[in-house]
Amino acid sequence: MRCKEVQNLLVEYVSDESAPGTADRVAGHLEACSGCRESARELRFLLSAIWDSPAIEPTHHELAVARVSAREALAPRIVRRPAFAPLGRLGDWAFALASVLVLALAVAVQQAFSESGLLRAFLADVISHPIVLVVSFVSIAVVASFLPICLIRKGVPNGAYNGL
Amino acid sequence: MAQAQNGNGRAVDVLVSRHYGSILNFAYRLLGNRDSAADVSQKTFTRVFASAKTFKIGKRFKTWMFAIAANLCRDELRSKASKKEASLEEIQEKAGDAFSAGGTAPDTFDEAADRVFSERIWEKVRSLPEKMAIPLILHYRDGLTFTEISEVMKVPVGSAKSWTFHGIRRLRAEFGGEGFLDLKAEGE
Repeated sequence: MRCKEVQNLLVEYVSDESAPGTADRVAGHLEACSGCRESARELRFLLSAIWDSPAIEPTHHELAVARVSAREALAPRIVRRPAFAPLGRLGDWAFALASVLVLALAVAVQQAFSESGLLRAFLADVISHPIVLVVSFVSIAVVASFLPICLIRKGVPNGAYNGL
Repeated sequence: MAQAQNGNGRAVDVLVSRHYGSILNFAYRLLGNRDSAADVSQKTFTRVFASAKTFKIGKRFKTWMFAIAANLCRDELRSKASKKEASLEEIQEKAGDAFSAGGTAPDTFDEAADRVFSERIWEKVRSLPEKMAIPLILHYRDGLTFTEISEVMKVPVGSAKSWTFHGIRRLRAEFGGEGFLDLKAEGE
């Protein structure tokens, strides 16, 4: 083997990572060539310095911080948010207020109708039209269910703590 | 890792305790600064467990972890304005830091000289291109095989191998040119 070829293979040889058969050929060359032998010695020394340089030890504080951060990353804090809040907090209150006003208006209208007897006639009209009846019931049900949901805050966990 | 994915906090603690030192040393060798290395190490584990659900059981946790650490180190290096060669005083200070962290102080002049020389080597390693420095540290310090390094760096195994050995050759050329290796040989 020529010196140039051996020089390119020396790092693998010194690291004991030569391809099969190559290590013997390099070793044979080194026995006869003092220049390449010196190069191998320098490489061995350099690699020893890399291998043997002392490791740094983590401090207790560093480990503690890493553990806490890792746990938090795995299980984020519980975030409380309403079960239904498409418009946000302000929108919830606005919707609730509007619902209360609608109900108040309905009561006022009912009072007015009952005095004039028009309510009976109106209700008779509604009952005789099924579609109008269904729409009326659905509207009342929606308003009735939205009002307590918007008024009562419910927390929904964003994640869950298990085993912590 | 499977237990950690199920939210087991103790499993998280075990994984952090087991691997934090390796990541810290890897980051320290690459960045040359203890505080930056600790910062990168903490971010590594934060990112590891923030994306724990995406880790497929059966894959190598170690290579996944080192891949995240290597990317964070690259980001840290690129955010620095410039890399400059440290003065001899800074090298001596770092040599002192490394050994005070390890708990031992040099007893003899030779030991102190070895430590300064060791830090000088690491300065040279850090001055290598990232694609050589990273596999060199992973292979010769962290004991990763070239297959594992190829997974960390997402390159072919052959590339990981050639960059590692090329890095060592370049180091040798630089040290040989400065006469360090001759001086050390005389001391032996």
